[in-house]
Amino acid sequence: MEKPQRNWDTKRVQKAQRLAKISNLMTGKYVETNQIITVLEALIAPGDKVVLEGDNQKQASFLSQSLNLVNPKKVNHLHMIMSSISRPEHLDIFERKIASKIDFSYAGAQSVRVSQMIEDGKMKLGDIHTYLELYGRLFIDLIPNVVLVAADKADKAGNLYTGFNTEETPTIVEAAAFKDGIVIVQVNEVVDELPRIDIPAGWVDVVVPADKPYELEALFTRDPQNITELQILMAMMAIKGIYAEHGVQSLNHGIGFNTAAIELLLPTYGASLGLKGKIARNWVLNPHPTIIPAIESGWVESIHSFGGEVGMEKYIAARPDIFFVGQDGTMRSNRVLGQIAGQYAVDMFIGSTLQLDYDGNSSTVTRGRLSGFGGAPNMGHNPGGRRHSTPAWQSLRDQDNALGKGQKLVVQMVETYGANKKPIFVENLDALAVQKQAGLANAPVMIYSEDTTHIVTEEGIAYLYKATSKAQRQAAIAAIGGVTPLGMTSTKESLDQLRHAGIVKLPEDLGIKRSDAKRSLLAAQTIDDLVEWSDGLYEPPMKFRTWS
Amino acid sequence: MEQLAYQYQTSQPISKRVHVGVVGSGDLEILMFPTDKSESTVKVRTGSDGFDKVWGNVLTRFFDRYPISADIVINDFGATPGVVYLRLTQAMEELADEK
Amino acid sequence: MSTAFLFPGQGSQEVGMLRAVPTQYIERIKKITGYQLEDLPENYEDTVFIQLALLVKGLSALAAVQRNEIRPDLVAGHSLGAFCAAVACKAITFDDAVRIVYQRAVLMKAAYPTGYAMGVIVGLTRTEVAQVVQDTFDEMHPVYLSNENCPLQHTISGEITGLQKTLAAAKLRQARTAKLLKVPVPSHCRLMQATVAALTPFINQITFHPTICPYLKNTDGRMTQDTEVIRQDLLENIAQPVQWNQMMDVAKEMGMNLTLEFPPGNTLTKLIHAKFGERSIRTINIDQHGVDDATFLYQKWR
Repeated sequence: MEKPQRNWDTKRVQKAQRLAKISNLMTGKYVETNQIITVLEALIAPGDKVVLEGDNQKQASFLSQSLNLVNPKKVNHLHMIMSSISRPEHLDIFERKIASKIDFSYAGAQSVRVSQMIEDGKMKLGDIHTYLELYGRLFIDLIPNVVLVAADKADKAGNLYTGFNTEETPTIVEAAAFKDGIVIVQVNEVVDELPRIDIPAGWVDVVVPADKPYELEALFTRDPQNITELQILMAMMAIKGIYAEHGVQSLNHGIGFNTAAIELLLPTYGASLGLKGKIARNWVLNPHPTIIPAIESGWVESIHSFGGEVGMEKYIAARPDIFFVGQDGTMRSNRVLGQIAGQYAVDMFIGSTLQLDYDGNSSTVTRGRLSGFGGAPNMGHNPGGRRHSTPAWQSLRDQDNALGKGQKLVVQMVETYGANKKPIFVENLDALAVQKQAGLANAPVMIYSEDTTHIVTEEGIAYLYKATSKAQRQAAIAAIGGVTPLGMTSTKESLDQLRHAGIVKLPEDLGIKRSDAKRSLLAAQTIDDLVEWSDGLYEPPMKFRTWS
Repeated sequence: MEQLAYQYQTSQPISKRVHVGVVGSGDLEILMFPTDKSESTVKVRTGSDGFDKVWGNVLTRFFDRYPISADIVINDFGATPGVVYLRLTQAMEELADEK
Repeated sequence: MSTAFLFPGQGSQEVGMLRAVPTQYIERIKKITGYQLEDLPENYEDTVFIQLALLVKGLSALAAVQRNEIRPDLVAGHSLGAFCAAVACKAITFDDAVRIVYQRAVLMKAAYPTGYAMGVIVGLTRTEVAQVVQDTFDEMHPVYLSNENCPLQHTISGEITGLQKTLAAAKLRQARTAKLLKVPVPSHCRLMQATVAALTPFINQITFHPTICPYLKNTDGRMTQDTEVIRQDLLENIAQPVQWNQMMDVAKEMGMNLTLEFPPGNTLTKLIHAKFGERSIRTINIDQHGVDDATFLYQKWR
């Protein structure tokens, strides 16, 4: 058998060569804080694929700031791979020509600058992904040469504790650790003994104490004072017309005031309908403070979280029956597993959006911004690979199809007019213009019409999965479109027909009185109420406190 | 500031005065007074100019479904059409309560 | 804390605003340009007066703020204000700013001495305003879509009777506000192209210096510290729409959480509130607070 001669361990050899360059700077796996730039210049080669953490919550800010200070003559043309482009310096590395290409998932906090830089050619876009797609590619064709991550603590051997904010760090590290990539970790603290080991030292190459703790922002805290009566009305309809109707046991709530209202109505309105124990028991959810009353009232059996939320640490540590808490007493979050659960293992996703077209396709992009997808499309689609049946999933089955199966509930909740008094329903999504502007292969739709099973507006619910044609689908959406241009196309006859067929339900069809939609129905009306519900364990971040 | 006026031919006189809504940004106040005419008059006071047609659409839909006869005064503080319709239907529910 | 210095442009001027400006500034303007700034109501119809007056009003306050050791992390000027921004980030000197603004204003006035202006429309999206402009367009009384101040506030520029027609049409399409601005030239549209060409040799003579912080460009909302790019922006902003909305988006993404608006007026502070709400960004307005109180607030919040 003839075959070309080759070495099969070139990556291993190269890694050893790179690490050898800094062997004089290392004590075990540790390098000193002030040596970080030398270390980065030695370990990162031009053209490398580099993951920079860039999670949704946690940011390896010391490493990203240091990366900006390397010599572009030594380190350049990097291909960055990032879950979330969150901080200005994530883009500064492109201005400085340290990096040239990027594959990412979410860029909400930097979406305008990302859009500008791609348009100007300062940043070449690989592609925009959902979280799971990006993590998957770390093991296929975006295998990183170097990963720059953050951990809370490390011990002398280099074992890592990522704790409450573990997020996707273990997966990022795994992709490098088992493919001869180099793993560089910034830590807040070095200790003799870790509370627990989240990532073993054998996966880690270099540990550097950071100059200050990694950046973390509160993203999922919503002040109940900002929930409006309209949102309460919609939440009541969702609970009765969808959760109860289909028997939704397991779910994910997208972040927003609409879902916060639902969370706060379970202990009150939900209880009045006798639904406790019958719905909303198992959750995949970031630790929304607004879920506290439902937990305390006995609605919630379990919550798995993608990441942490500032202020919720002590509360969660005191509720190990509900959350995923280690033997050390702190929560472990995991975005990768949470996203998988949210995709395959729950009955329903419910969230809000900024724009819907007349068919029900939805998008959150607007012109001049490239915010990416994050996890919403993972949650907000019907996974073709699902096989196991639950009552809610099965309730959407097409009974006429012998080979039929159930469907995941994907619900969009929107008011007919947005805060800017512009209709939420548009003929053409801005996503189409963004596709052209950014040179994307496809329009960045967040959730497609064919995956959307229900739409809730303040007018009522459209049970889109029951529509038998595209025209009927549009008519159902128009019937709850209020006085928007789309809504004005709906006639009384059409509405009555759809109500008769059970495809559209108004509050009166659900037995809901609009005047019951009062803020007093919320289990908690202020942040202080949430603190009280939690027996003082919830510690709201500064900006949410009312007494400062 | 705009003062808008509308009229609708209707058939169901209301039996008592109704007051719903609040004075607040993004909200509105609705006052309904009984009338012996078989029509409804609506006076809208609003700081948001140019929404004449939208108000007309909301009110037409409302009277299509609930052809009540009343003299109605609305003080609007920048509510979206969704909030307007909510308050109008809340007024209906208040009327229905005591019937 | 990341502080942005914001400088307003034409439209913000108010009769009497020069009274608080120290006389040495008025004298310096006269020395450099030969123009005597006199705060009289009739002068407020003249773009040369307006631009020089706004420049000196902003820069005199800037000097006071600098004496109190307040430095910007970002600078952004709206239209004429871009020149103050350029001085604030040290790209150009006070004297050079005066020279070039004088030239700019003289050329603009020569191109459109009367009959042209700008208007503002509030409550419509840019697409909606573009539609109104297109639907009412008349070659004899041309009007063009110009600045984007925030998502629901846009300006139009052109001939006055054309502007009035377009503004009236905007009102019918549910614009909350549609009115003329106190700007006597059709800035920020193609009508000013010839002026850009005429100003080019003058601005090329100015020496630009390394900047102390990033500058936000009027023409495309990008952030830059490249002095040649700043030069081009100052030149071209005469005939290009001011992308204020985008500039503020980028500033926020850069971490701006405090704005310091220079006099006159509070237009830019109101735009910050309209766009970001009243809580996420702290605002200081020098016209309202005065330099001393502004300094106190800045130091307290920093």
